[in-house]
Amino acid sequence: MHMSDALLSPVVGGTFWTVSAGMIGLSAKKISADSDGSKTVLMGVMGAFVFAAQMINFTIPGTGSSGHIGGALLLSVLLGPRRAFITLASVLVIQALFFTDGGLLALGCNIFNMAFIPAFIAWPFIYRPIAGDGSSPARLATASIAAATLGLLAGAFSVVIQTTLSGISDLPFSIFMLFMLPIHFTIGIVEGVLTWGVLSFISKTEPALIAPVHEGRSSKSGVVTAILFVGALGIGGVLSWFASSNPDGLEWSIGKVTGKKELGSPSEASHKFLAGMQEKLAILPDYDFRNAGRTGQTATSATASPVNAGTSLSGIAGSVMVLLLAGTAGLLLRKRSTPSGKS
Amino acid sequence: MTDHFDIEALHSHAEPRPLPVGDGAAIVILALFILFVIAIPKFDIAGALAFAAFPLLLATASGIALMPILKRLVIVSPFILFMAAGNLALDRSTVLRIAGLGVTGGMISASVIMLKTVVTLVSLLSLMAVMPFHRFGKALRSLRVPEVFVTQLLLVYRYSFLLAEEASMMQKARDLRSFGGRGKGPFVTARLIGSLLIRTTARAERIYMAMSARGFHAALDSRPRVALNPGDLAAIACSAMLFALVRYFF
Amino acid sequence: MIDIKQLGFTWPDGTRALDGLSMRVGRSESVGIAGSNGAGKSTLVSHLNAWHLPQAGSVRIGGVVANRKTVEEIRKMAGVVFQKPDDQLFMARVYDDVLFGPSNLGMSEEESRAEAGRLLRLFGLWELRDKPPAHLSQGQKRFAALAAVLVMQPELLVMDEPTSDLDPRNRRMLIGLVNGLSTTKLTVSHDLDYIWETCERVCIMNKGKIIANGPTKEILSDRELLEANGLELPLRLQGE
Repeated sequence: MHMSDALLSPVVGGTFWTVSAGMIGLSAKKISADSDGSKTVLMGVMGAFVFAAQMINFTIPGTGSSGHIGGALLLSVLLGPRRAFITLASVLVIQALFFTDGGLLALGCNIFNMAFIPAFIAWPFIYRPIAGDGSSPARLATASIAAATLGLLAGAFSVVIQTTLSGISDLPFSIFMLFMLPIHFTIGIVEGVLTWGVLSFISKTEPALIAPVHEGRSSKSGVVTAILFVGALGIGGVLSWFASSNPDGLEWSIGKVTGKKELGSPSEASHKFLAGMQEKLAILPDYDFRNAGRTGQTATSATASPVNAGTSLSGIAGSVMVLLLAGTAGLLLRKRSTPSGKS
Repeated sequence: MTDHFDIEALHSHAEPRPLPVGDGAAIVILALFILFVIAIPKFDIAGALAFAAFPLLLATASGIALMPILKRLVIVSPFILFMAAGNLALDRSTVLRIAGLGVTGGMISASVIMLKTVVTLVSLLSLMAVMPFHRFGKALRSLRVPEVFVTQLLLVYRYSFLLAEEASMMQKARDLRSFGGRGKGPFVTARLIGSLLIRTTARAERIYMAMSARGFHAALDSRPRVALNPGDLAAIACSAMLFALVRYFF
Repeated sequence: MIDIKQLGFTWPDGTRALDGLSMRVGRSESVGIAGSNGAGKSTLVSHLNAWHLPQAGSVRIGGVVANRKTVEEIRKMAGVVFQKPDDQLFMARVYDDVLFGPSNLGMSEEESRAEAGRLLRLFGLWELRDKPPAHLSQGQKRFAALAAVLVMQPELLVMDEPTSDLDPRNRRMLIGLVNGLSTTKLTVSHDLDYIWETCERVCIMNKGKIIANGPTKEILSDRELLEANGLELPLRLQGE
């Protein structure tokens, strides 16, 4: 499911954008070190293939509803995680630019949910261990279905986290999850079955296409970072379970519309401006400026909660930033210290 | 995903034209604009409307046909409609009364969501409509996007339509021989996709052969990249300040 | 220009595509290769620009022996136009495709643009230069692919089935253009009438070998020879 710009806050959107852009940069670097030009062309054409394959519909027997393949797991098996990631990311970019699937800011989230998770989490940790060398049909089927399903569930979970952390939608975390998980579970099973079908077909007609991929080891650092990141967000997500829609922002806007001077003094107005600018620049918002200057105003919304949206967001954003900086610094340091021959 | 897959349809809504700033700068300015729009608080309709002025102004000034672009948005993602409707349903506390009718918080936040969506998507589509893809690729290079990724985007763009046509023909051939829903199940479809895949890899091999015959090494464009010039940087800074001012006043 | 001795090549699945093939083409000659489907023509083409290296025998292009080290040198000399134009026009717009080769070869920007402009105008494609290749008709794509190769100023021009998707008028235009080129030319085709009009010499190929080699008009009038190798008399000679 594609995330949308309007449901994101700049902090959440910007964070995921940074992570996705960083992973694209890293993957691109590793790929360009491997000078096999034929794989470059293959990646490009496979990206086009994803669009084409998604046009082929099938009907689910018994239900009459139709669906199409996603292709993320298939690509990961055929191209290896890094190339699959780049390819899937490119498909998402084209979808955003030409088909308004998602948006420019939401691209960061979408690339994380629908490219990063399948290629760097579902494939190495679920598909590969179960599938083994691909010779046993039963293992192949299990691996495909499990990896597709869990990958899609993780992606769905990520969407819920991103939406809830942003605070634009009023949908409570629990209800959202209740809605997303069963749907993606079903889609996952179908995707897994389709992927398995394609892989068995190819293994009979052109087995050379499913070559073993030796990329697993070195993407570990990136994957570890990602897991830590997802974990941090999970904790953040639980925390934002308590987040409320912000009554203060509502009051302020209503005040402007109705002409009532809720804002008070000009210094408060400029304070709001600066605080707003800081938020927009998406650098660490280090204090809860929405409540600064207010004297014990109670929330007017019925969903008042013990935890204030401002502080929990600031806290999460803070941990994310620190984590990212640490991870990036770590990867950069590691790249400098290892000779380029090692991969 | 539209049934008729035409990645090029967008360019029929506008003549490609050189922009007053460099292509790379235009992309950065668009990104900044979208960021500002997204940063509009949840209930700030005034702010959302103020920023809507930008795409409107640019579209009318540059002659982009807005109606077809807006029509594209009608097929808006059901997800966002659902979420906006969710706000409508969940936040029912009346916050204002206009002429005796109650306006709920949900109505306001849902409207802001839809407004933000329209404004961001229209600006995105407008820029893509006046910028042919080869210029987009060059612009990305000037913004230091990794060469591997730019090459990737160019190839996906070039071959999507062709492969989509092949897929569509395969599906038609299948549909003409399936009756009553039989023959369209997942396993038949998997074989169809598998055939398409094999054709695709064979095609990739031929394309690589043609590229190698003309000296291809790693990138589709081996010329040095054109960096952003000072004029571009100034334009970006000015736009940022303009957006900040609008945000402040509304 | 081309000197092939006892060339042998077997595909990984065991098909023997080339079997002791020998042939020579002198500079400025225009030679045709005719054969039925599966004769090995396309495999031969892929050896002419060192895409495949000989498994047996030798290939010499412009005096340079084809091996792993001389691949680039040979590709600078031999320009190959493949069967399917879509596989050769891979850039976002036609102009970029034509400039692709020269920029990789290191030709100067002005020189590349000048030569590209000249060829595009010659082929009537100048107005279409900014279009994505998908917007061109099949004939236009063919000419664009030809331009993209000629712009590199190759000493040898190899064409694989150049008329297979051309309508009569485009075909006529191609014949005129090709006859106006002074480079050494090798054309693989089963359009025998095209070979009749553009090649002074023709080789008949079958099962990976050259069966016959001689002046075009002589070989292509030999009905028994042609039919023995899966071909027919050219249309212009039929009905006599």
